[in-house]
Amino acid sequence: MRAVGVPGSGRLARREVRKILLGLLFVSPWLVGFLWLQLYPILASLYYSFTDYQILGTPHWTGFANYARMFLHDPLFWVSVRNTLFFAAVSVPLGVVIGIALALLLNARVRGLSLYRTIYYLPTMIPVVPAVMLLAWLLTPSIGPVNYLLGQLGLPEPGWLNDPAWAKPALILLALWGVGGSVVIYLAGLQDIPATLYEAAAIDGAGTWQRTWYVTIPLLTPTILFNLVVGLIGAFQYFAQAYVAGAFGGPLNSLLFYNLYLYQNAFQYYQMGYASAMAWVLLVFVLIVTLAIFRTTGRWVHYAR
Amino acid sequence: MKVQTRINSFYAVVATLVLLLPLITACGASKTGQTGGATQQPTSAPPASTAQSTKAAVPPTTAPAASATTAPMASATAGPSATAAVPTSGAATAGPTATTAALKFPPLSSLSPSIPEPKSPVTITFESWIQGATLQKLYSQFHKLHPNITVKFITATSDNEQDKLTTQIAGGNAPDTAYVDAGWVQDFADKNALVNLDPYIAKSKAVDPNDYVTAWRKMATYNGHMYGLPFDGETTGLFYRTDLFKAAGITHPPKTWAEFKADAQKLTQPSKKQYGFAIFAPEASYYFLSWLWQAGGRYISPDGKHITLDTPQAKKAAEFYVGLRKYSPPDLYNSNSYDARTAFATGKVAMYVAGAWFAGEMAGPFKKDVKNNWSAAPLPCDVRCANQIAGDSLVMFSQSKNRDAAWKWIEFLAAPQNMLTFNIGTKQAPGTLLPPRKSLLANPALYKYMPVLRQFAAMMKTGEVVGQGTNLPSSFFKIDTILNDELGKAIYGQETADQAMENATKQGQAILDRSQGH
Repeated sequence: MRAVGVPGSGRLARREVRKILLGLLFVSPWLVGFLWLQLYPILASLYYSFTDYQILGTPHWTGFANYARMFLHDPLFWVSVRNTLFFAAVSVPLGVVIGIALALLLNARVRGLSLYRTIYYLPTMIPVVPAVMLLAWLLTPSIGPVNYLLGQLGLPEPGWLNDPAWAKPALILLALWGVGGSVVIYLAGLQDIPATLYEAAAIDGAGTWQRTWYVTIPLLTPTILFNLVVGLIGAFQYFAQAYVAGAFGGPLNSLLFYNLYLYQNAFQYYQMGYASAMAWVLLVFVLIVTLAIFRTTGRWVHYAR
Repeated sequence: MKVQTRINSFYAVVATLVLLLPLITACGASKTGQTGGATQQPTSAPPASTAQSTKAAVPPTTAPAASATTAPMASATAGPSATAAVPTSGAATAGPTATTAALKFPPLSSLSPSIPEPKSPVTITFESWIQGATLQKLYSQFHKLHPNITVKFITATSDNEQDKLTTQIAGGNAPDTAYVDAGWVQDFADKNALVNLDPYIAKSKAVDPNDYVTAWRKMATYNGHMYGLPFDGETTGLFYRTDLFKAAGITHPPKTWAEFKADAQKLTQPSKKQYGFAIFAPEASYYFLSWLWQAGGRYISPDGKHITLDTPQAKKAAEFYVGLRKYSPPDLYNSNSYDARTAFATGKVAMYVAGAWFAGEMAGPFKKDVKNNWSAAPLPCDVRCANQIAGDSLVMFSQSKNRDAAWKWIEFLAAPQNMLTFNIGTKQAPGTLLPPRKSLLANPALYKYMPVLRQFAAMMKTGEVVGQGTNLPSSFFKIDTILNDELGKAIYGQETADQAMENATKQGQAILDRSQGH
């Protein structure tokens, strides 16, 4: 209890309040933006996921109907899950392996190194839409340059984006073409490895291969972990490329990725309630996968210091 | 160490080449594209990416949720040509037909005198993807007649207008009026977004509901009231290469299914990379409809409670339609009728089913490739003749605060002489759409720039829409997606047409039952 009218403490309290208010005022652009444009839509989507909201008209509470429909009655949902898991399971590990290989190359002594670094990073700079258009053109069956080349070599010419079996591999190729982004991160990780460890290994008689396997890779694991988690989340949220390559889900829905199907439900079919439920399922799934990966880190991630 | 460096350099160069290859070839491609002219441009587009833009020309696979009588156009006997004959012979002894028809048109200055003119200036909005000189000319004429009404044009694309309008309605910012796909009218009316136009139509000299071609009127009607004014329309028809027909010794376009199949077979010569037909999995359910109806099948039972795709008629239609894959280039299975137009223009495909918009492509951007080696004909018939239709309507939104002024604008556009002007287009950019008014279809002015459209006008009376008199459930688009997927699998040879129909019926029925609370 504070006595009313005691000058010192009252002024102090008021100054403190003022300070807090002033602070809040300064962060208010962010605060308002966060509460209004992020937190509110997030919470609203949770609410809508339990309704039959269709953008026009009022939402009605339907309990877990959307979730039940997703898991029990919607074969396309499972198609999208399978497509996404396949894409993640192939493109992420391949991206890690190729990313590390290229980073090791770039870390070695090569003439014109900065030129190569620029070139490897270049594909990352190309916006998604032209990149996909380019890919689609390269892989055009019968008249595209890739199939022309394959034909000249006497190899079979796949239908690529027109063939349900080859559409996903085509997009995986595209994903690997943009591996330069993670290469830069691996390079930073490589340069973080203390030279003393290599010297020690060399003195112990370790060759290039052994130094790579016993020094470089273990000490690169924190970077691998980072790229793995970011890559997996990116794969689960894969959307723009699939949308450009086949807005309707590609041949026989072979490019119907989770987020593309979510988008179709929300903005083509106006099933906003169902789409919200899908978004929350994805969030929970990504959370579980990420936590599971972090659980295992004790066994394979080594920190230099 | 030196050797190591050299090996590293080698790998680096190889990797660089692999990464750069796409870019280098692309540069080469863009060069050939410039010199190659019109042909290169469309091929370089990815097969499905422009699928969205297809909406512009072809109605989306979620077929118009509209209805038409099973007996197409009750007044078929007094069809276009018959109605036209009356004014021509009755009114004038001399002068061309067009002038004669013009005499019959209501005066634009007083289309609905009993609806008050605004006393002070008002601005109304009109959302559409149609621009161009014709519309501007019509508007300046309108503004002269109604100086107090200013129309503000809001631009949308045919791809995004439905999304945009939905968002605008939800946000309370709907435009006063809009030009919309005829298939959206019932949907928006169902959501209370549109104004019932019946009271206005009753007072108007511009609009005569009985003059609209039946299928179009039905598309604009919801619960017995008109919520849209049909403004333009088109039908699906058969385009064919006259040169390839001649080379194969075919004298006339096929009139029956048997003829169609025989012609497709004759025209298919894989060694010459030439095919008789082109079938598209992404649009399978949409283009299947014509064949379904021709075989006497239905999508949905008249009471709207049963999916009827497993009937013998439907299965027969599916078998025939999917069977056309043998005469279609596999490269194009995942394409669509818009992207694949190059294949027809370059003679890779000899017969092509598409809407009348396709004529505009062949007469316009692809004229250099296809020259005059093409023509169009009505689709072949089986048990009966039938074909899909599409079109656009003018609507007024219930959020409009200036309904009378809004009416004056859409009524002005819908007046017969203006519908005619709009649909004819200009010599440079002739329209491929037709006015869905019986009294206008006989007007020779419609065909002066694009004579081939006569074939499509003839098909307007056999035009049909899904449901055929049934109010479709809101879950219809899901059912149609399933049919599309199943037909797609059959086109890719992963199941038989019979299985596709069985599966689509089973899954579609489950969705229908759930949506009706069984």
